[in-house]
Amino acid sequence: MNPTPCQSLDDYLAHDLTGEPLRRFSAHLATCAECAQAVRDNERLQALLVEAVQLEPVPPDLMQHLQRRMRVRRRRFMVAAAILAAAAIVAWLAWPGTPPDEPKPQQAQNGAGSNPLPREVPVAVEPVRVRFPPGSGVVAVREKIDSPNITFVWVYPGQRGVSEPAMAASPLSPERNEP
Amino acid sequence: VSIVLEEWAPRVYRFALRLCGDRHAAEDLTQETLLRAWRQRGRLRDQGALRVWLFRITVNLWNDELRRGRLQVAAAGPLSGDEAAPAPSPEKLAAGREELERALRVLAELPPRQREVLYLSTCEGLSSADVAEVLGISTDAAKANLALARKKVRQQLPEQFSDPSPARSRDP
Repeated sequence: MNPTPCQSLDDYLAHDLTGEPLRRFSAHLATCAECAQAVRDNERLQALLVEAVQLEPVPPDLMQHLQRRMRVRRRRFMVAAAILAAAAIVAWLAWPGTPPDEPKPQQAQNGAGSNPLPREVPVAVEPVRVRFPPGSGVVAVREKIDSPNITFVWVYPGQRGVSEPAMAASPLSPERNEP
Repeated sequence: VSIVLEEWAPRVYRFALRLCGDRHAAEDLTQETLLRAWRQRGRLRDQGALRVWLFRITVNLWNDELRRGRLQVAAAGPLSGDEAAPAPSPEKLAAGREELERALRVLAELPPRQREVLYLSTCEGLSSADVAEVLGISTDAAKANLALARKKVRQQLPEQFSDPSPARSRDP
C-alpha cells in the first residue's frame, strides 16, 4: 500500500525520497500547509546548524600537519623499499647457487683443461690454483657448501684404476681450478 | 591530493568534532582518517561514495580509540578546548552569533548517537541509508535517532521554529 503524501514527510526530511516519490511529495507541498511548514522548519534548522558549525574554527595548521605526516610516511616507505631492494640484491649476490649437475662423462674426461664448476658462485675469497698433470684424466666435482667462503671440490683420479674419490683442499675458488 | 585534502579536511574535522567533542582529539582523528584514506585510496571504487567512505573511516578509527580506552565518548555540553573563533563576518557577529552559539550548545548536548545522526543528515545531507552505513547502525535506527534529535532541538530552540511540536510530525 502506498503511503499518503503526508506520510512521506519524514522520508523527505531524511533525504530518502528520490525519483517519482520525491516528485510526488514536492507537488504535495504546494497543497499541504502543514507539510510545507514542517519542511520550512527543517530548512531553518538546517541553515542554523550549518551556519553554527562554521563557527568552529578548523585548526589553521591542520593541512600543514597532515601534509608533513604524509611526507614522512612517504619517505619512510621509500627508505623501507630501498632497504628491501638492497637486501634482495645482496642476498641474490651472496646466494651460493644451485648445486652443479653431475658432469657428463664426456665433459669429465676432458682432463685438466675442463672446469666442471659453475662460474657464478661463490664470491672468491682467495685465488687458489690447482694444477693437475697433463693427461691425468681427473674429474673435479664441486660439493655444495653453505658458506660462500669455502669451496669443496671432489677430485676423481680418473675412470680407470681408482675407485675411491679423494678430497681436495679448501678454500678453492671454482674458477681457479685451472690446469 | 592536496586539493582533495583541502576540500575534505574541514568536513572530516567537523564530523570528528561531533564524535570526540574535543578539538585536539578531533584534529588527530582527522589526520588519521585522511592518512588512512590516502593509503587505502585504491579501495575506493566509486568516487561518488567518497564522503560516506571518509566518514566511515572516521567512525572506525574513533571506535578503535574507544575500544583501546584512550578516549571517552564526547560528554554532553559545550566543546572543550579553545573558544569558538570569531564568526566569518561582522554582520553575523552582530546579528546572530549568540543564536548560533546556542544552537551549537544544543547540538553538543544531544546524546552522541542523535548528535551524529543529526549532523550527518542535516549538515551533510546524507540519506538515512548513508547515515546508517557511516555509523554502522540500521536505517530504522538512523531515522529514529534523527526524529528524536530534531524534536529535542525544536524544544531547546522554540523561537527558531513556528511550532515546537508540529502535529503532523511522526517524531516520538
